[in-house]
Amino acid sequence: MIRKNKSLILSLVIAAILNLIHINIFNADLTPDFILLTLIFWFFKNPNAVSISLFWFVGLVTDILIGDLLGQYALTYASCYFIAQYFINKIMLNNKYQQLLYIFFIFLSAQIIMLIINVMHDLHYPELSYYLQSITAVLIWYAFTKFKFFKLDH
Amino acid sequence: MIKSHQRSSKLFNKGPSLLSKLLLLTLISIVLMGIDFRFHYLKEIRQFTNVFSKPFHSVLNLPTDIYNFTTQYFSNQSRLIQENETLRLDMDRLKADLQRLDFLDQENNQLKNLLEVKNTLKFKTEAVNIIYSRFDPFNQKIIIDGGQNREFQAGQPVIDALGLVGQISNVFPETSEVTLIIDKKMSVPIQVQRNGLRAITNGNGQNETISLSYLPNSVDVMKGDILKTSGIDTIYPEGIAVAEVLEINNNPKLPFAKIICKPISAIRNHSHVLVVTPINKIPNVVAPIKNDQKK
Repeated sequence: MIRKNKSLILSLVIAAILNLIHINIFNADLTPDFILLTLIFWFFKNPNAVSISLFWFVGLVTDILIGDLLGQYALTYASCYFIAQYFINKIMLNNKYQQLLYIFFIFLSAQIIMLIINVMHDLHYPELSYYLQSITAVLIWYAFTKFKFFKLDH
Repeated sequence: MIKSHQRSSKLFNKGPSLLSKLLLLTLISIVLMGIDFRFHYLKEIRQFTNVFSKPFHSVLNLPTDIYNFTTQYFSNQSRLIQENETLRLDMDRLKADLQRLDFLDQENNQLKNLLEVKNTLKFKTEAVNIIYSRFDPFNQKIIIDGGQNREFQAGQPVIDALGLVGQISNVFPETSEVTLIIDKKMSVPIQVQRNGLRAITNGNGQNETISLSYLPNSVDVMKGDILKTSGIDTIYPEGIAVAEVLEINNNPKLPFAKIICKPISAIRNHSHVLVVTPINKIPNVVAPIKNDQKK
């Protein structure tokens, strides 16, 4: 259990560093939220290792690192846990490509929650390419499923 | 749903349900956001956490540092000599320009004294490295190397060789946060170079553009006009290039002309910027106007 927690923390730290890198194509920032990607991965890999409070706490730390308002990432991640928990049985039954659709949906809902929070506090709408971040997240997920360790077992 | 819930519990299902946990955490988050929106205490928390994030930045910069070191180490001598030659020529030319500029500056000051115009602001610049740009689609910000240790203050303009980049918005012990001119919350007082028209630019927060707001449809602005800082705000020095007009839409149905401009400075493309520090302080001219309004 301790070993697993260690790898969880290590992967989160790497994700936090990766979050600072910009994938900039045609003036659109396509960097997905690597921290959320890592959390969701651990959730599907080993649901007992993470809980909704851990998601919320990691979100709070993310807020301190890169957030604009304290609590926006915390709220987003906690909601994502709830949505992922709703999907977990369906995801395990489906094939690889159907799983990607669910991952896409989780990331899209995270972006929409983020959008609602931002629109409420400073009335600013991002451009349409903002939603492409969910697609990059799914592509990165797909690239990782090529490795055996990252495959979700049925 | 019930089955999935059993999966998440450690030993057996005990304690509050997932939905009630979510509602509780949502409530805490909303309260936190509300307090932060009102009192901005996240800035104060960041003052402490920024010290810990320093190692992350050095790890992140490691690949580029190694690349720079190796290319410098193995760069061949003839190229270096050539580069040195061009740099020396450039420096000579700039020095000659500077002499002329000093003379003009002096003359300008004398003329201003004759006309009894108050002296304009004087500035010096300091070069700093960009550490990283923040991951946030809602804010256009970059983090630069140097903060309280180099006596930077919030509000100082940041420029590059081509034009205005932005303004320091937050100062931490060893780093500072620069809000770019394309940020939604950023406005800069400018003057059109061709006819001296004063206006204020607003960042659009998207498409890397800025717009001129609240100008009438009949305004004399043309495509390709250069906008420069007017210097009347005592924050930005006079005559720094800000943007170039890209397109004008003066639809008579709309109350104001819609003017979209492209920043002149290479906002996304550099590793160094210059922080502008004022040398002489000019008394804030905004305060008495406010008092007059109150009366």
